[in-house]
Amino acid sequence: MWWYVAKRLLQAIPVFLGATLIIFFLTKLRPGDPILGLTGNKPVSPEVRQALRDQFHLNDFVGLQWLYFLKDVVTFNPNFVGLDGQPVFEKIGNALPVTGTLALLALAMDAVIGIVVGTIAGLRRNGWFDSVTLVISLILLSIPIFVVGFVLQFLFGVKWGVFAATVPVDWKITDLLLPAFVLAIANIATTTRLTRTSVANNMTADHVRTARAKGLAGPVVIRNHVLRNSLVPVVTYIGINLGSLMAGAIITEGIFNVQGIGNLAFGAVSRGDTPLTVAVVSVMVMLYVFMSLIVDLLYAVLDPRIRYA
Amino acid sequence: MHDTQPGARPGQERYVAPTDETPLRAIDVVDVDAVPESQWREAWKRLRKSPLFWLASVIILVLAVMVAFPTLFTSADPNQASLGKQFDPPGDGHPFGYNFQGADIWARTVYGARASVAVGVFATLVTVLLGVVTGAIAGFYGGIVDTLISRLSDIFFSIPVLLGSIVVISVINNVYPNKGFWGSVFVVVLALALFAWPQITRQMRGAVLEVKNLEFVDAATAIGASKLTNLRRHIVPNALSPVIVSATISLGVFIVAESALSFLGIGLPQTMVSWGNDLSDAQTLVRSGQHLVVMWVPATALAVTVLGFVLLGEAVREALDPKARKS
Repeated sequence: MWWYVAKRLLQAIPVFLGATLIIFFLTKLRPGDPILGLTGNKPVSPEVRQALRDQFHLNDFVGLQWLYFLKDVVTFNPNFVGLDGQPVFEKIGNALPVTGTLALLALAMDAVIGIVVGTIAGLRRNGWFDSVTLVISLILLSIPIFVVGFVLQFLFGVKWGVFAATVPVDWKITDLLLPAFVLAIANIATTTRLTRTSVANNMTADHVRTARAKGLAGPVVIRNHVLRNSLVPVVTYIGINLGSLMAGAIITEGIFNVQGIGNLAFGAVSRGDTPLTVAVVSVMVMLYVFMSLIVDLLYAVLDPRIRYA
Repeated sequence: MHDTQPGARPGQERYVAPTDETPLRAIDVVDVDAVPESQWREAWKRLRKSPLFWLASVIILVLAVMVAFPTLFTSADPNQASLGKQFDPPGDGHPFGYNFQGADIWARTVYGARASVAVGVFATLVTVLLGVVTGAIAGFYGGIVDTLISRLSDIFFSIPVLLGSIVVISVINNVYPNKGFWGSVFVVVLALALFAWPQITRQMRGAVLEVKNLEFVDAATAIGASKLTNLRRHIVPNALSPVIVSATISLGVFIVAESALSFLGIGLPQTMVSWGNDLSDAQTLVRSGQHLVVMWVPATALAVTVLGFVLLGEAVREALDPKARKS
């Protein structure tokens, strides 16, 4: 088990290096003078310019710049500043809680709604409930998330005033319920479909028939034999989504004006703030790698047939 | 197709012997000397019977006509805007009225199909081509080639598509600001495909690994097929079905992704007529709850299009995989 964790972490290193390298070089291709961006387009004396270029390692070979950057990221260097002179990791640290809460809330909604609805649909396959959920989930999959977001924001936030229409900087968890639901919608549709198929397949499995044959009550069979087996692929799907939820938050955060990672990333890209952009993407990649490791381990816990030696 | 007896509890359906599935007469009429049908022909036969497939086909056909001959649907010019007509109600030949700029909403939606569909189709083509080639090579040859391709796909897979695309597009837009229609479409396609291909690679690699040890490949080798012939003629065609399904669905996903990028103001340039841009323009109106038709028309067009491709994907999945269909 620990050997497997070590091996996976070791495998994650080239992925992390490669991903940061790609984003780093991409942002380096962007034209424009970073020093002018830093000083707000005011001319600077050659001495100051030289000092700033030295500070940001801009005179070095690009590969070397990347290594400097890596050192800062791996150590979460508090003195590592973006082009606006603000410490990068302080910004990320400030933005992470709200996006993390948003993603976790969305994950919880996804899990609860997706599994409950999917199970009911799967137990009575091709029944009216199954058909209705199929139609609804296909429609939800087809509408862009920001259209749903705007409509819900207008209805619940502006018209009926149930939730705050936008999320203030000093947010409370109730402010995030509506954005989290919007973020979760596409995933809920997929989780429902996945649970439904998985439950429906397990309903006709031999071990379920055996359980019925030996006289177990219906609910017991469903809880112990159908659900427990059906939820393995569902849990992995939900788990692997935390990363994509945090990235998908870029849209949701735009709609509800959440000052989170997505907004930070988008602002950094539009301003051409290379250090901040690459740092945010690196943190996202780290999160993704970490989550996929957790999911793999969870898989082994849930499914006793899988053993990592 | 369940032979359900009345009052059967879920899970008990299989107890009933499927007597009507292959009656003796049906077995008798099977022509044993007939040439076996290819899996594609069989799939097409099943596909033809699926109402889902026909519904999807109608949607996609209408869309294709709209892309090719927009003048059949509207006589108005999507780029002609006069502020005097701002939010004018629907009138003769203008079924949904005018938007904030005083341009015909319906005309903009009809002409906007072109850009959105172009992004969807080409992003899918590039993704599938890259994914199938890399996945087939990785799965078939194994060893160091497999390791290299797998690690490379891991790297691109770890970067979220939307985030990566934003970085790529913003860089390219800064280097080449003015690109015209196809240039702009190309940039969005490139950005989306760059971070989307690993999904197909993984799928293809898994399918090839499964297929390459099957008996018919050994049989082909025994009658003297070379490695490359085997890969091209026998392995790839038989490993393609999961990829076809996800490609169909991803076409819709790419159209949604383009609109999301336009919503962020970074997809196709604002001067281009596209659903994403129209929706992006409509967002301020929606916030105040006025003139919602400006959003509904392109949003519905987009949703119906995506629905068409999602339904087609579902229908193809059922046709290609009879096992999943029965269960």
